[in-house]
Amino acid sequence: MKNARRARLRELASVPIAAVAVAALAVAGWLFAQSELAALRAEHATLSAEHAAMSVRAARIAELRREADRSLAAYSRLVARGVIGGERRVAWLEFMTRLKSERRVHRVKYAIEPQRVLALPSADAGIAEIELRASRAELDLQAGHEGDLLGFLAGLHDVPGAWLVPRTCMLRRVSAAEAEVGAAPRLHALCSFDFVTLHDRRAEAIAR
Amino acid sequence: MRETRVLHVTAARVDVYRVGRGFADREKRFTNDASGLASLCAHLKMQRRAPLRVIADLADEDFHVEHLPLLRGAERREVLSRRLRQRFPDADLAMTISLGRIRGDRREERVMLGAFTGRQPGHAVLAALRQEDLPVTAIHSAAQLAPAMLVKMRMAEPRVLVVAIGAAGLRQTYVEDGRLRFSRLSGLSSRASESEDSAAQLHHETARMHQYLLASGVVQPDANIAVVHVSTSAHPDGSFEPGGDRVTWQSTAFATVARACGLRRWSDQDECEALAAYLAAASASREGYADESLHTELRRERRRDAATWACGVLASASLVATGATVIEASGLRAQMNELRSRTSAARIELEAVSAGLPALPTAVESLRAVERIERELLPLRASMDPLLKEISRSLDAVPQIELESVRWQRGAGPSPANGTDADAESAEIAGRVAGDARAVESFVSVLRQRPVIVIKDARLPFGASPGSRIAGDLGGAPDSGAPTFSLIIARRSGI
Repeated sequence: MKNARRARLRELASVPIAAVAVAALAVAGWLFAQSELAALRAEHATLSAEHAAMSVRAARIAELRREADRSLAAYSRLVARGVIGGERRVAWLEFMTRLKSERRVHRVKYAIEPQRVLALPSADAGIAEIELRASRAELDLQAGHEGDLLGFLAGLHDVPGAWLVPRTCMLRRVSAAEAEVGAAPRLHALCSFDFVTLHDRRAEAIAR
Repeated sequence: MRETRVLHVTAARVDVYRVGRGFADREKRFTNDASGLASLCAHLKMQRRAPLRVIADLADEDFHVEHLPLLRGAERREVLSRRLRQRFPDADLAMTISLGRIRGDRREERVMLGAFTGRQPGHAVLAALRQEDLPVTAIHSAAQLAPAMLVKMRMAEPRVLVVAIGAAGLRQTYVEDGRLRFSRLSGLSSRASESEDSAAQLHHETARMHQYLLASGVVQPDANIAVVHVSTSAHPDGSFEPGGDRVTWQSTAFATVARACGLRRWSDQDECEALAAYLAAASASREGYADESLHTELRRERRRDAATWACGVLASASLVATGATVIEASGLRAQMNELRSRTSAARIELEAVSAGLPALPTAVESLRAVERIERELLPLRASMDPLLKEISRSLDAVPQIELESVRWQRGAGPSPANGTDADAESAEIAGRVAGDARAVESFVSVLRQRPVIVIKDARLPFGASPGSRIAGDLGGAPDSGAPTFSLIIARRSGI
């Protein structure tokens, strides 16, 4: 038994130590390289995820920036025109007075109803901070010429501080019996408009 | 070829050769007696424990051909062992060489049995090596190396007698079809040191050998034999005429033979021995003599070789795999650097975009909502002017028409079923005709020609349609009032 064991040991010892050492070194090197590679793969995965997140975030911010620029331009235009903000009835009346003179309309009678809140055009169009409001105006107009009357009605759309939404308009020829003394109106118009404004509660809160 | 030590044993001495690729260098020479063998063992034990191969260049090597039933595996080994014991009962070293199957009805194999008979000086060498537990892996007789030499020399002749004079004497080996058939070692007389005498003795011995082969039936009388004489510097080729028509003589310089066998470096003093050592180192161990102890050592050597090879393969595979891993890691590192730079660039861009965001007067959602509301209210804010202008232009074309009233309203006009938009504007026109009542039809026709106008309803001065009732007094006084009409028209949106 002892001899057999000794023989086996001698046999083992007879394997060139250099070969075993080289093989062991090579295997150890491979194992080390594998562990390094695994660590690199993990780091690569983390970097990839970070890069993907950063790219998505950058793209989102860039898109947001473009959208903000576009929306802000529209918003600023409406603020400048006065559509966003409080009603400016005095400005409306001044505008109509000036328009009446320019278009030679004989008479402009008006009645503006109290402001009311309108439902937004579509259900998802707005958010709680944005409110659409309208003031219904009834105009009774008399003009001597059809062109003057139509010009007045078209020019009314440039009213400051509101969007003008025409509802109905009845135009008819005035008979001689109906004409007022000292004037010669030929046309009479009875029209209904909505002066629409927008109210942004958040902007108002910021402004305050 | 791995570096090996080969012992060349003759009756008088033992030479130790160190054999490697292209060389066979004599390392040491010992006398073949008790003191010489002790020195030999001492020398070998001082060397690295490397496998030893032994060439027995001795006389009294006996050969015998037998016919055996065609067997395989353990059964064949058992029969061969029994035949060897029967044929050479006292031989320590014996071997068998298969000479091939015999064609015929009986399935038999021709086998040559060989052995060293008698108590040769070689036995003392082997006994000394075994006693010192030195790893002998193969024992060849000098005769067994001749077929390998002929293969290297590309000899095509089927029957060749190899003749060479070495340290042990004149060795004549007969090889048939590449297999050893017979060999004899004969000593040279004292006069043979002179070239002419050695050539004469060579001639004489070769003729005797030929006669013996013919007499013993190893060679048929009508068979041709090629004699290959390896001429060394000590015993160069002499003038010689072969005897008989069946014998051809070919003397080849040792250098030519050595080069053919791959040996590049040797000493002039022991040319044949160096070549034998080189051939023995290159030969397979199983081709020599071997007993069980040699098999054990051989197996050990093979296992060691296998382990060394396995280590080599493992190391190579590991190196290749490591190389592949390093290449992959290098690629990953490059990708990671690229990712880092791109991420850094994205971060810088993100910071720049974030820093450049304008101060918003309200929430982004509110901005979006305002933009959307403006877009959606746009159709409702359309002026009534376009429709009224269309009516005005149509009136210019038909001056007989006098309008009394126009009632404009948004919606409630044409429905989608009519192919127009529900949100379009509509106008109800009432008027009268100054003159020919057919001017109304012209007016309607003009309106129809306007691409944006759709006539929804028309009530003309005379209800000329079959579905309406008309009445009048054709003989009475003419009606003083002008004919009246009413139309409902709509404007297609988006045109």
